[in-house]
Amino acid sequence: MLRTTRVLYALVVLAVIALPFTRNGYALATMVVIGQNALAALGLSLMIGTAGEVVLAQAAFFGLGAYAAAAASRHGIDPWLALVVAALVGTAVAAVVGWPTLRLRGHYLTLATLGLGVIAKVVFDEAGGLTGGPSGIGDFGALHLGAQALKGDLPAYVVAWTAVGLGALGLNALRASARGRALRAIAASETAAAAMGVRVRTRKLEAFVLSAVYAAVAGALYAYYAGYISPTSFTFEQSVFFVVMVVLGGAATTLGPVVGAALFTLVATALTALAGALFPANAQGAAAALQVVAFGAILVAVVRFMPQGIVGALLERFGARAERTLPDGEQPERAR
Amino acid sequence: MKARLAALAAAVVLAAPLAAPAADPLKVGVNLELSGVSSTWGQPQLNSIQMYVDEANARGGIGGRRIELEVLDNKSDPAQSRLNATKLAGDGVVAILGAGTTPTTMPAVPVANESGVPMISNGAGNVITNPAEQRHWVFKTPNDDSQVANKIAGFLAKQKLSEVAFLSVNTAYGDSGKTNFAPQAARFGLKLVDEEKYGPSDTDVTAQLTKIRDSKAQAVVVWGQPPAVTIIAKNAAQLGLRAKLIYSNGAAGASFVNAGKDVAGTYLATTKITVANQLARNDPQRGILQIYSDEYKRRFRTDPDGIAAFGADGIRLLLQAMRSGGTDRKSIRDALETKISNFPSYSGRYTITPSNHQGLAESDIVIAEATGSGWKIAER
Amino acid sequence: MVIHNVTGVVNFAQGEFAMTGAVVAVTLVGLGVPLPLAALGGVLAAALVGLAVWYLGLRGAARASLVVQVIVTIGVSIALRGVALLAFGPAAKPLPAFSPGGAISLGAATVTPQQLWIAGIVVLLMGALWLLFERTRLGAALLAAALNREAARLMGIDPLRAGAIAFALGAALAGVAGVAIAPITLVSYDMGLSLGLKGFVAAVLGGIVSVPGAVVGGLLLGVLESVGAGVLSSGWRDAIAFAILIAVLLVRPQGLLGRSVARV
Repeated sequence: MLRTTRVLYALVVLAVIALPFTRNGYALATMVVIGQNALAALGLSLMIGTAGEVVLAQAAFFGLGAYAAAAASRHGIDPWLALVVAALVGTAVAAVVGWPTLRLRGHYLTLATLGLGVIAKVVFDEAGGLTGGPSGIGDFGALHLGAQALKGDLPAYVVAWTAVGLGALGLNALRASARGRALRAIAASETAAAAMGVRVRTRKLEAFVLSAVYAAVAGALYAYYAGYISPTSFTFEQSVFFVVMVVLGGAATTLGPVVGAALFTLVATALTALAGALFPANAQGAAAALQVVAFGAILVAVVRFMPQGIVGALLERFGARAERTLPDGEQPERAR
Repeated sequence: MKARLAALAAAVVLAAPLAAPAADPLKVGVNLELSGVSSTWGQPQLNSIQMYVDEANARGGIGGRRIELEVLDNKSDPAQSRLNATKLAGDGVVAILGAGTTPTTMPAVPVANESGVPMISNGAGNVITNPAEQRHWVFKTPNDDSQVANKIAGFLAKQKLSEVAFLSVNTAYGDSGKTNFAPQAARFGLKLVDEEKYGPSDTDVTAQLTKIRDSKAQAVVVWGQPPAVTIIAKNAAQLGLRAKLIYSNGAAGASFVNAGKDVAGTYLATTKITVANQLARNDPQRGILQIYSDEYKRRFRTDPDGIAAFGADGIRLLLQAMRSGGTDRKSIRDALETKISNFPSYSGRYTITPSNHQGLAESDIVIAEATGSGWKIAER
Repeated sequence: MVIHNVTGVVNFAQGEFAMTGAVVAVTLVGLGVPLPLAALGGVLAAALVGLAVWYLGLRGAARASLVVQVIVTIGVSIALRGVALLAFGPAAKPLPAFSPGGAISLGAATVTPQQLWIAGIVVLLMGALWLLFERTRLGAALLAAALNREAARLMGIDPLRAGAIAFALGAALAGVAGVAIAPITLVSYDMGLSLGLKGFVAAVLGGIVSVPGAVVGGLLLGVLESVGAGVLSSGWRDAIAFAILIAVLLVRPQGLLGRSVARV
C-alpha cells in the first residue's frame, strides 16, 4: 500500500473512532446515514470502478435488503440472522436478474439496470402482503445485544461503520486478487480480456452479486435504524445518488466511495443548514430550490474537473498513480 | 476610526428596539418537504406557519419571548427527515412542526419520542398517532382517513349511488384510503364494483377510467392528490364517464380547487376551508377562516388551500399550547394533550386527549360540489 | 434521441428540457402572451437551455467516460428542476388546449382535439427529421459524427459543433413534446422525471438510433401500457414498460425498427 493511501486510511479511521466522543448527536446521526450509504456505495464501486459499468439499481437492492430483513424479523427470525437473510436474498435476486442482463454493456446495461430499479420499486409498492405496499411497514424489532435492544444513534453508528470497515477490507482483498485483475482487464477491453481467457460474464456476474449484497446489508441496517420503511426511500433517484457518491469520491479506490458517501451527505445537509441560516424563514421555499440548483451544479463541476473523484485526485496529486485505474482505464494492469 | 465608532453606535441604537424583549427567543423547529416530490405539500404549509409566527411576534411573542423558526427542508426523503428531527432536537427547539407526509413523518417518530420533543405532523396516515401509547410525543393535524371514508360512504348511500368504484393514487395516502374505505362501504351497504390505482406522476388515467366505465359504477371515489386529481376529472369528461366523481380531502390543493370548469360537477370531501364563504353565520370557524384566507391571499398572492390549512392548524395548536401550558417541551406536550378542547381552527375543531392525538371529528368534514366557478356545500 | 444519435450521450436531462418548454409556455401565457407565441417561446427556451447544457457541461466531456457523462446530465437535470421550482413554484398549473372544443367520438374511442394536435405534430416532426437526416448535408454530417467521430473529423465535420446542433435540436424537440402534452397533463416543475424515463423506454423500444423507430416506440409504449393496465392491475404498468425495455435490449438492442448496427 502506498504511503498517501495509508495516511488517508488512517485519517478516516481516526475520524470514525473519534466522532462519538464529541457527543454531538446530530453529527452522529449524520454519520449513521453516511455509513449505511457508504456500504452500498462500496459495493457499487466494484461495478463502476473495477468492472467499468454503471449500474442504476443500487437503491433497489438496498430496498430489497431492507424488506427482506423486515419480513424475516416479522416472521420471528432474530434480527442479526435477518441480516444474513437479507444478504442471501440479495445474492439470489442479483444472480437471477444479473445473468441475462449482464450480456449487455455500456449504455445498454445502464438502461437495463435503470429498468430493474423501476421494476423493483413497483414490486415494493404492489406486493403489499410482504412489503406493506406504499404505506410501508414498521414494528419489525431492532438489533439487540443480549436482551437489550440497540436503539438510537450510537449503536447504529458502531454497527454501520463496523460493516463499512469489513466491507472495505473485503473489497481490498478482492481487488488485489486474480479476480480483481480480471475485472479490470474486462473494463479495459472485454474482447481482449476474453481473448486472454477471462470468463467475462461470470466475473461480471460475481461483481454484480457482491455489489448487490453490500447494498442489501446496508438496506437491512437502514431498516433497523429507521424502524419504518416505505418504497419512497428506494427510488430511481436514490440509485442515481449512489452512483454519484461513488464517482464523487473516486470509483477506483476503496476509500473513494466512503469519502464520496460522506461528501454527498455532508454537502446536501450543509446546503440545507446553510439555506436555513442564510435566509429568513419566509424565504425558505426559495432557499430549498436554490439548494437543489447548487447541488446539481456542484455535481457537474466535480465530475467535470475531477472525473477520477476526490480521492482519485488526491492520490494523483501525491503521486500514487500506480494504484489507480479509471473505468475507461488508460493503462490498466494486464490480466494474467 | 471615529466614523466607524459612530456607525457602530448608530447600529446599536437602531438594533435596540428589535432586541427589546431581552429574554431568549423560543426556538421552534420546522421539518417540511420544501423540495422533492412532496413540495406541493410542504411549501404552502411553511407559508401558513410563517404567517402565524410573524403575527404572534408582532403581538409581543409568547410571554415576552419572540418565536424563532429553524426551518429544515427534508427533500421529501424519509432518511433526511429523521436527520432533520435529530438536528432540531439537538438544537434545543421546544417543538417540531412537520413532517408533512406519512413516509417522512414515520422515521422521525422515534426521534421525537426518544429525545422528548413534541412533534406536530401534517401527514394524514392513521399510523402517525396510533397506537397512542407509542406516540407519546407525536400529534397530527389532518383528519384520520377513516373519518373521511365514513363521510364519503354515508354521502353515497344517501344519494343512492350504491355501485361504487375506487380509484386511488399508488402512495401511502391512497393506500390508507383504500384500507379505510372498504369497511365503511360495507357498513353503508355499498358495493365495490372495481378498484383501480394510478401512479402519483401519471399524466393519463384514461385506461383505469375506461375499466371503471365498463364496471357500470354509479360513482367513483378518488383518493388522490394534485396534480393528478385534476387530470382524472379531465380524462373522465373526455371519456363521457357518467359516474359521479367524489374526491377525498387530499385533492384539496389550490390547483384542483381552482381548476374551475375542468372539475365542474365533481364532489370533494374537504375541511370547511374550501367553502368558507358559505358557512352558517354562527359557525365558529367562519370568522377565523375568513381572516386567514384574506391574510394568506394578501401575503402570498394565492388562495390558501386545504393543504396550507393543515400547516396553519399545527402552528395554531402549538401557540395555544404554549399560551395555556408553558414553553418547555414537556409543558407543551402536556398542554397539547389536555388543554386543547373544542379549539376552533381551519380544518375543524380540535379536541385532543391522551388516547387521541389527532383531535378532529367527522363533523369537521363537509362534502362540497364544484359548480364550475367555485364550490358549494352539498352536505354538512 | 437525436442527442444520443449524434453525441453518443444518454441524456438524463431530456425530460427536463421538455419541462422547460412547458413551464416557459405556461409562464408566458400567464403574462398575457398569445398561446402560439408562448408555445414557440417555450420551444426556443428549451433549445437555448439545451445549447447551454452542451457548452457548459458536456462539450469538454465529450471524450470522458460513460459514468462522467451520465452524471453530468443527471446534475444538469437536478439543477434545472431546482431552477424551475424557484421560478415556477411547486404547484402544477394548466396550459390551455391549442384549440377549443370537446372530445370527438371515433367509434368506441373518443379523441380530444389536443390529442389530434399531438398526432399531427409527431407526424410533421417525423417527416422533418427524416428529411434532415436522409436528405440534407447537415443531417448526414450529424449522423457521420455519431457513427465514427474520427472519420467524420477527417471528412471536415467538427463533431463538437455537431454535438451543439444535436443538443439544441434534441432539446427543442423535447420542448415541443412538453408544450404539446401540457394541456393534457398540467405543468409542474418535476414533470420531467417521469417524462424522461418514459422517453428512454420509447427510444430503446424503437431503436435508440433511428427516428421513426423512436416514434413507433413511443406509440407502442403507449398502447402496451394502456392494454397492460387494462388487463393487469394498473400499478404494474411501469413494470411492464421497463420489463419490455429490458427484453428488447436483450433480444434486439438495435430496437424493433433499427437497422442491425453492431452493439456499442
